[in-house]
Amino acid sequence: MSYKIKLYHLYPDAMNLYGDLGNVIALSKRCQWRNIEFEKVDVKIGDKIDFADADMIFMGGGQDRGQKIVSNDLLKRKNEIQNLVESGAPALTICGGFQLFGKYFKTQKGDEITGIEVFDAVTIAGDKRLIGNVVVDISVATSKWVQKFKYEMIEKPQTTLVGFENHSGLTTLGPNCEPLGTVVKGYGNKGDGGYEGGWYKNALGTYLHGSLLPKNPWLTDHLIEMALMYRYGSPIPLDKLDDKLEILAHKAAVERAKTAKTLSL
Amino acid sequence: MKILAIFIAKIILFVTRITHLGGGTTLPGLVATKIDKNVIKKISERLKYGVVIITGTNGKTTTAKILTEILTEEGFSVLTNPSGSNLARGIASSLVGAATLSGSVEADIAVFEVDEATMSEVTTQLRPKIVLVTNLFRDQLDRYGELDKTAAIIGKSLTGFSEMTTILNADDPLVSSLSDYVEGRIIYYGLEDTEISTDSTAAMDSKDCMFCGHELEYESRYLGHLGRWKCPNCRRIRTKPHIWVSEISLEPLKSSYSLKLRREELKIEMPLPGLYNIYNALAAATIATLIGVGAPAISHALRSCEAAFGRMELIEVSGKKIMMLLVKNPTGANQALAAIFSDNKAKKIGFYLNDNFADGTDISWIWDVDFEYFDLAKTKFVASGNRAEDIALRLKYAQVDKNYLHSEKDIMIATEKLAELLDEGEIGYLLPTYTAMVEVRSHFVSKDDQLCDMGKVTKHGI
Repeated sequence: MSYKIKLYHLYPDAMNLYGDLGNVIALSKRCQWRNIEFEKVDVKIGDKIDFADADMIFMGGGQDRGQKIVSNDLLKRKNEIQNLVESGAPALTICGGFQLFGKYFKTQKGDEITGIEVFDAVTIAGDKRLIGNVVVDISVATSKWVQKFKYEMIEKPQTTLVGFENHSGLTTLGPNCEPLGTVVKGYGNKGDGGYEGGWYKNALGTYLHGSLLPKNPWLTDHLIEMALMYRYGSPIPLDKLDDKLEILAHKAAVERAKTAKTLSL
Repeated sequence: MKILAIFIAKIILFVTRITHLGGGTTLPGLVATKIDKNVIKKISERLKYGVVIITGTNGKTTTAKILTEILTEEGFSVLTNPSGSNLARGIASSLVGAATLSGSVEADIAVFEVDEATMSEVTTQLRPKIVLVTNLFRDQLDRYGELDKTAAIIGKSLTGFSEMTTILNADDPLVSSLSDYVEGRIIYYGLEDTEISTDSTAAMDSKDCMFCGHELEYESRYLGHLGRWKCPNCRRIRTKPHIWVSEISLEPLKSSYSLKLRREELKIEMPLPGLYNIYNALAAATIATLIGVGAPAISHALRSCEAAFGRMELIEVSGKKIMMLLVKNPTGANQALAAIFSDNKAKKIGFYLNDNFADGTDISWIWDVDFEYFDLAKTKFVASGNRAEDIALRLKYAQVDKNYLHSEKDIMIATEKLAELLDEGEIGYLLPTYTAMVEVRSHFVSKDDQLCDMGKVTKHGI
């Protein structure tokens, strides 16, 4: 039997910063290399699109301009997206996407941009930009995922995520959203080197650009597995791929994060 | 104080050049401004035709170089700042280097490329006659934050100078929006060619209206977010340029076009490829026209112009020829690839990715390069630089066959490998980031050639 997943890409034009598109490329290629059909539906502002057939959601980061317009459009889709996440569909949201999947984003002027409350999280604009390479330890989250799904991931989940952050918003998680991981190197959600990102059910939020998924292939595969499980109702084992280059790039980025200077503006 | 500042700075300049300590590009200026903080202003006031400033993301260096060639052709003596030193200190160094102890300057006019972030400091001190903004793309965003913030920084630096002429790229909606900050005269330049358009959506860095946030519409899109744009919501629309280019034809190593100045229309064949270089030439011609340079000098200089330091340079490695094209961001890389593949033939390409401060420490932009847009089958790649693994991975996901993909972190070995892949007489291509380009040059370009990038006064006939 041939398998298929359908990714709904929220606002590919307005929300694509710092190579976030690389995440979609990674998902698409790692499906294609396994002969899993990968279909992408672009959701743009004002589009009349129903999410009934979605298996996965992706939303990248965006500039502050336009955040309000995106938020207005996203709010119209709030129920559909919440229902998807509640019923187990995976979602990946980066930076601005992560913020708008939270409760609200408070700008420097004090305006509140409303989010769609997938994550129990609030973001407040900070006064400096947090920029640099990031290494995150996510062993707590992954061990919970393994327990929860009791399935054999084709690769043992790695304990680190590596990426590049560039944000000024500071995100605080509430009790219904677990942190994705703890910062080994970098600033993280609140700029204090504490928690990074958040997760609820199979929805993930993070500040990691870089692009995130290409250098963290096991996370890409985890999202694909969750999407297949959501679509077909049972775990579908994935073929193993040759990840030599991915692992080399992951390791090199971890090394670089240790040596490269970070700065904040 | 002024004399002391210039005197000491000149001594430092002399010593650093003799000893090759950093080429004397920033230290003398730093010291001179420490002694007399108005030294830049005092010297620049002595320039007969004042100061021209070129800023923006892409094309600063090449535009400044082409403009210098045009002005020199017309008989001007031109003071420039060396590329890579386009911060305030580098400009101060250029000025003190060209100044006599009494504070007069040997040049008629200064053409400075200025980093976006230092614009306000520089405009306040230099009081330029002309400022030109090339374009605004994502480049080294890790330094400045988001693109809108960069635009605001430039915008504020343009405010308060009613005597200054501001030249804006009409095709870039974000650059055009800077008109709101300007108090003096505004001149627009752009392309008027409906035949040139791309369907690649890569590097659309500013696709929403700056005023209302609605997605812009394009009658035709030239590259990235540059094109004939309008906002269907608030009805802002591209201004028709005063000086423009049409009838464009592109080839791998040259380009030809028609340049419409105020009165004359010139047919130009230029030994620089790519739409981005046509923008650079057009920008330079626009400034030259405003200064009063005649069509013959513009035409002559454009027909023989060369790209700036490392932007495009033919190097020789083990008897093979390699064309080196600097890449700094997705737009530049897409344009370089478009030029390389304009004849649709398989190539041998080195992509060298460094993430040092001068390159931009965020390398995620490689995922915004539209490799997928080009037919890469049969093209061989050499990935190198301190982030070689990342660019190799990007190429893997662009479906480059692993047998066609070599990864070698060491830039010198990688370049020799690239030369080895080339057949007799075949030209290879090399796309390095800034510090990788400098490293390639240090290995494969002779010392004599390396010295010619110093800040200097270019005189007619030299």
